Amino acid sequence: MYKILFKKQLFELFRSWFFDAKKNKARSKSGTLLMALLFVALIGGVVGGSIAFVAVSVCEPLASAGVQWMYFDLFAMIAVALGMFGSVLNTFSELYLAKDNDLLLSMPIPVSTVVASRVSVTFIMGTVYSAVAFLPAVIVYQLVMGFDIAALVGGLFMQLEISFIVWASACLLGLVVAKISLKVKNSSFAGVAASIIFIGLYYYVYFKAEVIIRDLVANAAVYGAKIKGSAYFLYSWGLNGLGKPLPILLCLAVCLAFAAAIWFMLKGTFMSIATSTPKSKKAKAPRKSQKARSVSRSLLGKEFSLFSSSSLYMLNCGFGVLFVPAAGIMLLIKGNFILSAIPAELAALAEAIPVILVGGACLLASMNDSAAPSVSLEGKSLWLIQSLPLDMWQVIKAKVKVQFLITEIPMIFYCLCVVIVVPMSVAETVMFLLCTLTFPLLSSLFSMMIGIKMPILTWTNEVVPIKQSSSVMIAIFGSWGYGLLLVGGYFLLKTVSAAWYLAAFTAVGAVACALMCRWLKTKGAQILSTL
Amino acid sequence: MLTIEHLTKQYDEKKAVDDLSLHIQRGEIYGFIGHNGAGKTTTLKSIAGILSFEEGTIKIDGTDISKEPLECKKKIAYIPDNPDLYDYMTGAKYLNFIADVFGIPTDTRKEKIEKYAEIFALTDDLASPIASYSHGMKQKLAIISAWLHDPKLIIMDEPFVGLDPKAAHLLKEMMREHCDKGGAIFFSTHVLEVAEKLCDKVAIIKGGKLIKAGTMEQVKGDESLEDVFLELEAEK
Repeated sequence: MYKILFKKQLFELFRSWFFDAKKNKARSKSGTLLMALLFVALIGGVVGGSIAFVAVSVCEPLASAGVQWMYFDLFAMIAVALGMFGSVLNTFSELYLAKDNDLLLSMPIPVSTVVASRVSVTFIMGTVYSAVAFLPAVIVYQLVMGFDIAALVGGLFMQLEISFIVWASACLLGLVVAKISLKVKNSSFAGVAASIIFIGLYYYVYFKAEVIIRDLVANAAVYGAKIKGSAYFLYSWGLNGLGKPLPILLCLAVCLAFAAAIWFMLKGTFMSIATSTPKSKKAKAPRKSQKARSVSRSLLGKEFSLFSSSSLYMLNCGFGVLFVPAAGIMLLIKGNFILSAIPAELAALAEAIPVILVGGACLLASMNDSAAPSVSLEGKSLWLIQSLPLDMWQVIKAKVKVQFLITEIPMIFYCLCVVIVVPMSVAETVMFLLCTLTFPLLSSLFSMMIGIKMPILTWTNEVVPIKQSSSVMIAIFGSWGYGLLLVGGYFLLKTVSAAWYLAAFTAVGAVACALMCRWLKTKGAQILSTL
Repeated sequence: MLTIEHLTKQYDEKKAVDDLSLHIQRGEIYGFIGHNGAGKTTTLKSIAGILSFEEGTIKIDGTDISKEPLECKKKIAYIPDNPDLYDYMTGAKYLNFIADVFGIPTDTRKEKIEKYAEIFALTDDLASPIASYSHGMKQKLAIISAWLHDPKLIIMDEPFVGLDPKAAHLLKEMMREHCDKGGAIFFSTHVLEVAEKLCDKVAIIKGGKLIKAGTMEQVKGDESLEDVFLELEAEK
């Protein structure tokens, strides 16, 4: 029974590899292989590549200080952080919000089997996220220090331990969020707040990482002695990477015990949480909600209700709301320092600043892609917009507007910060503003277009359309691509001034917006009405 | 009120509805019966403008659904067999959303929402999220939303499923009242006793084809509707 459920979970997780939503049919074997390769290239290449880069720079210094174990500790902790970062947001949804929980619980299937099939997927995802951070470090160690079979085996055991730690921590956090959700009225916002705290901590450590690693490498021997003296487990864990059998057995036992404790907690509480409904006070409907509104305002309200109803949706498709203003504030604080640090001989870089600032804002704003999964999230209630006397273009506009508004407002703040801090000519300022403020419309229309072209309406867990769909991936990487093309193109062309370059990009962007609008109004509306 | 001429709807090779013609007049409660997969839901969805179809015409109060879908949708209300509503909204928000779409003024909507919520004993639950509603409560909410804008034609797919006996009785009264005021109702059901007592006319569909339609007397004669239905089903 476990095997059947696990296969179902796996199919849902990797649905886009096997099923072409656009053509509404299964992919060929080569198509599936291509999707898998793309995934490996993206995750392994980008994240794994940058980890390997860091590993190369610290491996030898730590080894020469005689603290190789600290090298493994360092990357194990990065892997745990990355694994948890990747898993924590969807563990709660995966476990407790799956639409087929009631169905499965009503069948003659032991509760533990249902839980096991769900958490197995969490284990796999945690392993994937952590392995892209840890395995490159193991490989780099082999390359830098020479082939060592014991270290290789030890590294693999350590990866296994990391997977258990990531899994157990993510499940524990999922359980905490579930418990909170049952008690708090606005559970989606509580979930967002809890996740933001966690992500805030993650990024705090992430931004401090360079300083911490540099300090660690410079004083490796001192820190090594301190850890050995006061945190023996950490020392012992690091020895796993060197293939020491006793520490491997000890750490493996501790990790398994931790995972087993979490497993029994999950198993014991799953039924009561999954079948509970959040407490809600009986109250009269507020009078103001009965006030008549225009159709477009009402549709916009509906889309904002959808967006704010799910912490998963807000966190995965609206994080730019925090990042874009944060970048603006950082510029206000550190902007002058950064500008003065550019050496005079790098005049080209100074001239490119308006372009870089637009590109940077685009990359950060790409985290907002709420329009991409918005069609899929209509799910089984799609019949409503299709049966009501609604012009589909109005529906599409409302979905686009949500992404546009949650991106444009932070972008305006960012622009204000830039204008205050960065000295630019009038032409540069105007073109910087136009190009930056056009991007939210461009990315919103693009996300919407992809969302209509590649919807998934048969999901059983909202994680699928929000995190695991091709439409979301294309929307994010498409917007990133625009930002990278903007900056890269400028340095390749070199011949044009920043103002003219931005003007050209804005013009192209405006044309693209007009074309996408036209498509959405005609073909897009027609597709949406017959999905 | 509703004119269906030679409706044909195909899913790949399979004809879900095959050359179906049907006329529903003002004031009529028209029942639509047939076995599972006979083509009832496909027909109802086509009338509601949710499904496009290959051949035929559907006219609602003289307006062609294929040519003027929005005009048609303004005149109808549709309740599906499984009321998947917006779980993330409260009942009140949902009803106001529907009222906004149909442009119902504030006072009218307030009066109607209060009236129907009271009738279906849903007043205390309107402030709660739809996600916390039972199937029956969702069904009641869908019914209230259908009655909000005084549609000319109400299309319902298995409307009595999930309703408690009192709510089912209230719905029957509302259906009759609606038709007495000049509206029309077209609904599918598997509960043949309900169809027999409630409907002015009935249509039986089998394998996508309409096999019998007319007034209750024309269709069943002296027999029970159940007997007639089973006999027709047994025929090849």
